[in-house]
Amino acid sequence: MKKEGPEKINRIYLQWHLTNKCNNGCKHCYQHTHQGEDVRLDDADAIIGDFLECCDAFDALPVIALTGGDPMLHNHFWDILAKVKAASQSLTKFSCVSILGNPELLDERNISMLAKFNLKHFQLSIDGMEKKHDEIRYKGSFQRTMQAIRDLSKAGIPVYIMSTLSAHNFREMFDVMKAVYDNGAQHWMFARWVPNQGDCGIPANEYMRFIKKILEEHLQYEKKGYKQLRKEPLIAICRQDSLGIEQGVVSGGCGMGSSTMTMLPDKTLMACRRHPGSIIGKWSPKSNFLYHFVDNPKMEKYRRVEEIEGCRECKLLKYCRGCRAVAYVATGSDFKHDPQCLLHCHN
Amino acid sequence: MQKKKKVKYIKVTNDQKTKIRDLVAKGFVFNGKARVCGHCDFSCGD
Repeated sequence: MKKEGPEKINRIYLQWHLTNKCNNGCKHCYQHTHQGEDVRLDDADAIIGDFLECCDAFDALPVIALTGGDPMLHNHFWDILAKVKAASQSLTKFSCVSILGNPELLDERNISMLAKFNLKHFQLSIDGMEKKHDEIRYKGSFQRTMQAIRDLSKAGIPVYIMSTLSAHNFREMFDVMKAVYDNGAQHWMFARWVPNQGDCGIPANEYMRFIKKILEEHLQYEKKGYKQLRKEPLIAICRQDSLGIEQGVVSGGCGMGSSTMTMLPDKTLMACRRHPGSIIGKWSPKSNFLYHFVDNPKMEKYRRVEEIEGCRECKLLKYCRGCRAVAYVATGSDFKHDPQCLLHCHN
Repeated sequence: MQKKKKVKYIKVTNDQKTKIRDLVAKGFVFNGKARVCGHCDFSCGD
């Protein structure tokens, strides 16, 4: 049977943090507090409605990821999920709502309820094999997460796995990739850890070798029908099919300034959750998503991609641009090169 | 598919309409057909 695709080509992505409350305490977390106000249920309709109208103005498909903290710790998680789902279903029959969460609350009852929402996917994290992953989170987290992958998959909910890479764990990713796919995950991806300052500690030449090798192994999965490994912008350097999709048009790479935005529980908007300098303002009915996407000066600044040192001369400018968050914390500038990019080192 | 009646929260100005066309033309709105995205939700829907 032919798989039915979405009706619209353009996409706008909102990563909506419902709460700071979390049942994990990951060493690499970007969130420095588990306190603070949660999204108010009273505000949810206006926020959702405004985002969908912004998407409508772009003739774009709304793609919404609910996250936290652990979004399921929000007192009104199910109400908000139902509102998001109902609102998006009024625009598209395509499943475009996902959850980026933790495994702790994924018991039989909750998984059964989640299955009714026809989620695009549920994203969990694995940051190493058992010993390393548990060092970053807590003892028992690895096995708990693997069980959740199996349980969600059994319930028909696609599972995506994100791994956050640093010098301490990146060598284990070959085993991680195999383990998560063996346990039923539909997609595995990785991004580098963004510390408060400095970089993730992986030497550029070693990281490039890692990307080349992990991509080679992942291509075996892609041949079997798994989704392409794309999240890390620098993968574009190693993929043979990176060029030529639409010459001259931004066709991939870092999403900063593009049609992606993060909203924190207090309505603070960020161009990228991992980029600590990318707060662009607060959402309100007057200062709405459309304003921030189209007119916000900081978003306009992030779109000046030709000013990125080391990228402006690169043939992969439209496909990569490195990770702007990684570059920012390493250099203090939005327009410096990605420290792990070997192409720049050779320029 | 029947579309539900929507509540309008925003008004799109002519200036914004021009900017939207420009952003789409330059590729700053994720294109689900491009399939070369670096973002976790760029090509996921296909």
